[in-house]
Amino acid sequence: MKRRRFLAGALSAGAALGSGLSGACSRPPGRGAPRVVVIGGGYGGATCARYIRHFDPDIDVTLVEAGTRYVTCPFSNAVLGGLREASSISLGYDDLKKNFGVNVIHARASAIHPEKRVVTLADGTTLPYTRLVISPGISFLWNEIFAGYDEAASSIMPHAWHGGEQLMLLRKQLAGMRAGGVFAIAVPGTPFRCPPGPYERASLVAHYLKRANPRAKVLILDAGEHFSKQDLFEEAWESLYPGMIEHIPISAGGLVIGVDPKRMSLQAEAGEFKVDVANVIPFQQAGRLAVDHGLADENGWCPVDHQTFESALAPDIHVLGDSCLAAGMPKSASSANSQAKACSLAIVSLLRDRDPGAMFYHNTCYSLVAPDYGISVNTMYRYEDNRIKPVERAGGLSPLKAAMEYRSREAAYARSWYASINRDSFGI
Amino acid sequence: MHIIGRINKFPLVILLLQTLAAWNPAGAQEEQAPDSAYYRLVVATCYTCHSATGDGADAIPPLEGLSGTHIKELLTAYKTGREQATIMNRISKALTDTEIDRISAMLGGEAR
Repeated sequence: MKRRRFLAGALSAGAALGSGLSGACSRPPGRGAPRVVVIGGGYGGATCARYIRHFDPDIDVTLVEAGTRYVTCPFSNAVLGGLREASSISLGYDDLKKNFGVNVIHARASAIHPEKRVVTLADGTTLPYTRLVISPGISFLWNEIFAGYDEAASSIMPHAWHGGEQLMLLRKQLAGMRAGGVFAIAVPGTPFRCPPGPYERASLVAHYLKRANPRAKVLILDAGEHFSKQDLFEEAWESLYPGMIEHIPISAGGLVIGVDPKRMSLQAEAGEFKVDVANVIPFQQAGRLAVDHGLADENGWCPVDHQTFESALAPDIHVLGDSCLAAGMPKSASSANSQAKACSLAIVSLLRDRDPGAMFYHNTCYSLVAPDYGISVNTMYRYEDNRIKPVERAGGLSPLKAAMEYRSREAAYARSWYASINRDSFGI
Repeated sequence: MHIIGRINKFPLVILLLQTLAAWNPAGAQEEQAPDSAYYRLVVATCYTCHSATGDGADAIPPLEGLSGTHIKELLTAYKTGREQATIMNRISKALTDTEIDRISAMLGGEAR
């Protein structure tokens, strides 16, 4: 059965995709072509817009994104640690227009009307769709668990989890921290965007402090027990930043239950911590657009069909990236990019009344512990038994106790990965 | 040209090919492409980390210009552990031999 389904899908979708050579992607679709509207111009949305046009240039694709520049979360920790300038992690949308014929509208989508298959923009413009894709990222659960942490508090205790001004504020605070001060990171409960992100951040902050403020400390107050690439991070911290980084897991009272920005204090279960810089990363749920339109479940994330990423709660609306529940796929740029490709293929097939067929997905996450010290984790997945399942005996982590040459190669690969995924997702 | 010339000598072969072309198990209207959608998805996966041409400074090798045979050799060597890379050993173990054959040929040919 599985094989038959696979073959049928592969053959049939292949027919529709036959004209999808890269040179053909920029030509406009004809009149009456199916129209896909994609809301959200991060890795998920941008990749999806590009790859629908790549797989089938006869489909009209409109990307709706409020910002004209996208500041990436990958490599934002490198900006924080002083390894990069902020301008180097900001991308535009011109290449998606020019190279792939994607219509890009810079506006906020204010409402989705599934019964009419129409999206309304903030200025009142309406966009009809045959299928809708939303990739709205995450939103924060202000004032929950971390009591007292709201948007106003984030101007003193930045989360810096979306890039932009928050990131620059945190960088300024790091640079201005008193000698021997404490830089604290409050880590939310899972799931959250970029599981290794807080620990990469701790690493690159320690890298900065090692030279600029060598008696300073990094304190991680964690709402979780174990974390992504933990053994690799801890091995690296021991050799690169001995005694500088302290991690307090939930079992040791690491859960933050309240913040007081005026006193620069974090109240954790283990007690009160007076700190000099507080990077408070709040608990998270799906992006507002998804939550406000009833696309999220009681836990705040969007259940989807694992083959097509079509919402389990609303027909013809696909949810990608951090907002969706895609089995064990972590909330990462790489996952969003991969999900978007599978979703694009599925949409192309569905618009031609064909079975979307077999699917393959992948996630690779590099983390920098220092400029020349990279570590990675990756997993490949297949669509089997109606679910996204990791491929056994494949994927995995960088080895422990590897030679420095291996770490330095993976650091170079991390930078190269970043350049490639940006080209791939944003059509550069 | 050469192939067409040969086929023209064998009307039965043409008839057979026409019959095969008309037989369409999935009901597709268009002519079937040489590369199926699934393999295009797998190939697209490569481009998350590898660029097509790169900018000359990429540590991860760009894929354009590599022959299908070379890519197949590399993927097979990574899969069996004969060649030690970093992440490519972990990735290639997820690919079946058929997938390696198909995506190598596609990458070495029209690339996308």
